[in-house]
Amino acid sequence: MEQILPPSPASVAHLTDAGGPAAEAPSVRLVLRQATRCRDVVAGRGENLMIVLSRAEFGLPAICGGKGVCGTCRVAFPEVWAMRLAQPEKREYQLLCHLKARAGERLSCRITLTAALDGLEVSACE
Amino acid sequence: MSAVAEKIDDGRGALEHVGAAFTTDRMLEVRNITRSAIHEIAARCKPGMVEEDAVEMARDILASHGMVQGWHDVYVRFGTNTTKTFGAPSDPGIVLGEDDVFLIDIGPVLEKWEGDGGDTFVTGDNPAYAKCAADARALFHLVRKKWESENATGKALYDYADAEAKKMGWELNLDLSGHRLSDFPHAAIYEGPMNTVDFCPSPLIWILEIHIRDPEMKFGAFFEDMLLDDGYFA
Repeated sequence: MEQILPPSPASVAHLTDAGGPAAEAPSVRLVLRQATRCRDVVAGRGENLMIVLSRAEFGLPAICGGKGVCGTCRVAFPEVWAMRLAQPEKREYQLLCHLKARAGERLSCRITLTAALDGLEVSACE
Repeated sequence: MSAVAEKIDDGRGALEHVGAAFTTDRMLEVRNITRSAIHEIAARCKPGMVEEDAVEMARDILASHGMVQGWHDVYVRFGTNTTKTFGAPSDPGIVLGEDDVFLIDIGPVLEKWEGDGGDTFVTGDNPAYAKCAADARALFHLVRKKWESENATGKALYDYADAEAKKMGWELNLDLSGHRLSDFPHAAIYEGPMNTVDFCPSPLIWILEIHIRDPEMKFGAFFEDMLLDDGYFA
C-alpha cells in the first residue's frame, strides 16, 4: 500500500487552536518514539495532538481529518502517561474497542495538550 | 458482476488501483448495507428533532450494523444546513421542522471495505424542498446514464451535471465532484475528485456525488452512490 500523506492544513482547520504555537505561548514538550527513532518536539498548550504529530511528520494517515471516526490517528502511550489523559468519550471508546486497541492506545485527534502533559511520550502503534 | 470485475482488471492506471482485500462482492454488499442504513436513519428523523441528536442516532444505527468505523464523518443535515459543503461544520441547534428538508451522507467502513452513500428527504409538503430532493436523485441518474451510454470522462460527467443542474434551476456544488471508493482506505490510492479525471471511470470504484443548492443558498439536496449500470438500481 502506498504511503498516505498526513492531513492537509485545510482538512484539519477545525482542530486548530486559536492560540496556536505562538512564540510567547506556554509550551508542551513531547517525546515521539517511532521504531528506533526518538525525538523531542515542542507544541503549544491547547493544541490538538494529531495536528502536532502531523506537523512533526509522524506519519499518521488521519483519513477522516480528525473527526474521530477512522481510527488511523491512533497512537500509544505508556501507562504512566495514559493515566493522565482525559478519559475517552463514548465514541472514541467505542471505536477503540471496535479496533481492538491495546491498553494505552488513544486517538490522537481527541487529545488536547495541556500543561499536565508536558513531557508526554507518544509512540506509533505496533 | 463478472463484467464489473473485468472492467476493473483492464488497466485504468494508478488512480483505479484497489487494495489487497478488494472484492466486487464485498463492495456491493457494503453498498447495500450503507443504502439500507441511510433509509433506516431517515425513518427516524422526525420534526422537532435537533440535528445533533440525529447525528448521534445515525452513529448508533451504523454501529448496530458493525459500522463503528468510518472513512468520513457522519452527516445528517437539517434545513439551512443542507447548503453546507462536505466537511463544513453545521450551524448548531437546527431543529427539523414540520415542512422541511434533510440530507444524510455516510461513509462507513465495514471490516475492510468502504461504503459511501447519500440521499435527501423531506417532511411535510413544501414543494420546493420536494423538487430539490427529487432533482438531486434525477440528476444523479441523468449523469450516471451519460456515463453508461457514452463512456464519458469524469470531467465531462461533471460539466454535464453542472449544465443540467442549471436547467433544473439549481446550482451544483462542485466541491463535491466524485471520488474513489475501495477497500479501506481509498485515500492510499487516490484522494482527488472524479471531475478532473480524463478517462471514463470504471464501475464500482467511483462515487458520483450530486449536491445541488437553490440559487439563494437557503436549502440544498444531496445524492450519491456508486457508478453502476441500471441493473443495480431499483
